[in-house]
Amino acid sequence: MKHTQLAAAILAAGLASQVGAAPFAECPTQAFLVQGSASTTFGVNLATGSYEDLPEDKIPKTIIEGDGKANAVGYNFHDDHIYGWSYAHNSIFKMGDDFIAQPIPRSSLVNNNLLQTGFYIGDVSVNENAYYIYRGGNAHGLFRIGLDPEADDYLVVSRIISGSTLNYAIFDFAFHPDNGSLYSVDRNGRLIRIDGSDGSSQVLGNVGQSGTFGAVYFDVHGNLYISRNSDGYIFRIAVDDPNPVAEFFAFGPASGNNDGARCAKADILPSSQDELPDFGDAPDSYGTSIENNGARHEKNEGMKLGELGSNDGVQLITGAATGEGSLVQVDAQGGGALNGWVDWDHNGTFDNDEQVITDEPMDDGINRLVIDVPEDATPGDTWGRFRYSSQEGIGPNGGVSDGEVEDYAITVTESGVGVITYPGEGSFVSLAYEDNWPHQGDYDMNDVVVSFQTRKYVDASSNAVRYVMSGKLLAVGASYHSGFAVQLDGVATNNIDEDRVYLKVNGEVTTAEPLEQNAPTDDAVLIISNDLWEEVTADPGCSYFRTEDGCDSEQEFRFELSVSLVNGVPVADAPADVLNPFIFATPGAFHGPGLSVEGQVHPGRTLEIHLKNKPVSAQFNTSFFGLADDNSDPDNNLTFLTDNNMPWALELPIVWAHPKETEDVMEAYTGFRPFVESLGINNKTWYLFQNSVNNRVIQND
Amino acid sequence: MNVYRMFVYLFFAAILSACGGTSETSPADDNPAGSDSSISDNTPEPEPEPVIKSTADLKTTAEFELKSTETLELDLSIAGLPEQRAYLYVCHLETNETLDRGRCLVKTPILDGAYSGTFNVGNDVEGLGLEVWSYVPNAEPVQHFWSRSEDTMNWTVSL
Repeated sequence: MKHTQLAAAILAAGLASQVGAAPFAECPTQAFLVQGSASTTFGVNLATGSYEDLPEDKIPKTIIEGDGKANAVGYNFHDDHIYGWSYAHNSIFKMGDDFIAQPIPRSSLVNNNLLQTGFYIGDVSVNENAYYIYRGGNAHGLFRIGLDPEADDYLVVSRIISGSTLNYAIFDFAFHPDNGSLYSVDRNGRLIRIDGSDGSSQVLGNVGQSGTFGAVYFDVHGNLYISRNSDGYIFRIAVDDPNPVAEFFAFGPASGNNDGARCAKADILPSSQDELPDFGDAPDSYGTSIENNGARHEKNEGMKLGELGSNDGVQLITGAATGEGSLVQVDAQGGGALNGWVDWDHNGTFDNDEQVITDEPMDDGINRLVIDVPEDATPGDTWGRFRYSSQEGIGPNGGVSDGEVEDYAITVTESGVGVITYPGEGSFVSLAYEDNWPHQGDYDMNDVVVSFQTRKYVDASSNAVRYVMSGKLLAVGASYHSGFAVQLDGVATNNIDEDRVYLKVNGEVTTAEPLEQNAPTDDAVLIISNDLWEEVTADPGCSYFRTEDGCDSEQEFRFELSVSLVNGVPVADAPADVLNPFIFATPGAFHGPGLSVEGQVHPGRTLEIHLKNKPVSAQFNTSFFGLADDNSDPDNNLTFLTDNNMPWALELPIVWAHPKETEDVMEAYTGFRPFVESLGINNKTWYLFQNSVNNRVIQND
Repeated sequence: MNVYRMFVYLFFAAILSACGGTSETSPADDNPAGSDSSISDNTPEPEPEPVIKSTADLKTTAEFELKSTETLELDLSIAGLPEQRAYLYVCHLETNETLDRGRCLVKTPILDGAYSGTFNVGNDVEGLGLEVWSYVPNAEPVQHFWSRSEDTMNWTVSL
């Protein structure tokens, strides 16, 4: 190092020590936008485009003494300060969390003669503690200035490449968080990568958007965000994609004379739950998560649907029947506009032609409007999305700075069809089985426990035309392997529209064919699982699934089975309420002694266990009736009862807290005995959790 | 009696004892009611209460299915709706007089304000509500509520 350089560095080190503003909080999520001829700083939430003046409560807000202009800002990951170019001082500055720029005198910069003036493109490297500024044209170029006070090159200016060689119409650039390169998008939409070490560059492709992108930023995942000055639109680009595209991401602030800085090592969302934007709830194929550019809104009490954060602001009052109008009620506050989409064709996305409400202004309070359900809408379960904001023209995805998004599961029906849900939407009964039949079990009623709900669709002629059964496996407290199925009593197998039967497990449609291939006139049986032990396993240290202390497994087996009928069945004759669910012995698996059938070692599908007095299926081996402890009298419709008339299965009208392993239900619920002995007159709500001996039961959600 | 036979004998004796079973030569058979040998002041011993050690010992009737639900019959008739078509909700309650439309038992279009149906409701359900909406945006819905404590299981609505 030359003596003059050394002297300048010593002087600069002294200056730097006087630059006393505290650093920013370590690598903040927020982006910083500096703009205006008397520059002020804004904090920008790139996820939603919301922004605020910084500092909020300090006057003056201008960052340069004398209201000067600043530009070419970059966030220094190494010291958590922002660096930039001050036009008034014709030099660089350093800014801490007071948002007052502290100029570093031009005279302190070693080789400052290399620098002309008017820089508006800059960033600080992530891989090295150095500031890079650029301006195109013969008199300028790409420059590096060392920022590490301990390094020999501290405040030493070096020109990487001439501005005539590296000459792009760009307005900001940003360092990638990992690969050491600079990226930008020029006014024609070309994505440019610049190697900071030698200034070589390449055009990676056209991202499909043009304009002045005056502020560009990276996130920790290597996504580049570009903000267009004219309209404030923020686009996201996956720079490693072979065909990079600028995806609309959020509505940000329109601006001019601007530049952006952001810690490239920060995620795009804050880590605090309280600060997260409002997101939707639909499956991610609709764009729900940040990764899929999900719909999101900066939370704002003044602009909301119903209660902020609750899915309660929009209701399709009169259902959604094909070819009919649907009355929609909206509870809104804030004077914004509503947009809505429904996935009528069930393809998992909200298509442009599926927008049902467009920038509809809302009064504060209750609003009602009618949307048209297309004639060709596909009947069944689908999703709708409603977005409310002061921002008009929004789509089903991307961020906005206020309001709320609410996603709803919507059931589209044929015209005139109603839905009867047992025990009610959002509610479930529980089915609790002892699996030892025909031998009496220990009555802990947890060998198989399932939550269960049924929906029956009834057409305008009062015929049941479709059933949907859904639920979740709550416990398996036995080593026997059992399956789970439902019989539609009185509905013939050949009256099931086999092509329209589907079974979803954990939200995904399976390839299973649930309709059992029985004789055409046999009552239809739908198999949900042939072996519940194939659906879940005992957690380490547990003998069973969710029947022991410390065994509250994270595993799930959720199911939804949809069954449409070829010919509707008059409601009076159609299966109702809980239908006829049962467990059966898994084929090929041991299910107790003395139950071999016609040379088969194990009973398999021929052994069923139903709720008391429910009929069996055609597959059942009636010779099992009367064995061991069973006292069934099927000729008189009395089935699955003991000599004392006690059952092997119970239906509880709630999601039940089932007894732990070997805890007799009578001991776990002291009201059970008087309920039974009084034939249901006393202790009618014995099954509620508050009536349990709570160290003897396992609670369920 | 060898040791094995003695073991078998004791085993079955123990089982009979545990099951509370009786032999054909029980004292009751020895002293049939009305016989001369009866002693007038010797009142019969009350039958011992059955020992209930587990659910297996409980007794009930063959017909009682241990259901914890009751059947509610709804008969609805509303006159003077703005249109022939309307839409009916029968739902659980959020509060005493607010329907929770996310927890409905019935959502169905109806004609001429009429509907009949039966529902099994859990014993813990204290009340339900219904709303009838016309398809006219500004018309207010007709509401009615059922309370287990105040009403029977026949829910008749005639307005």
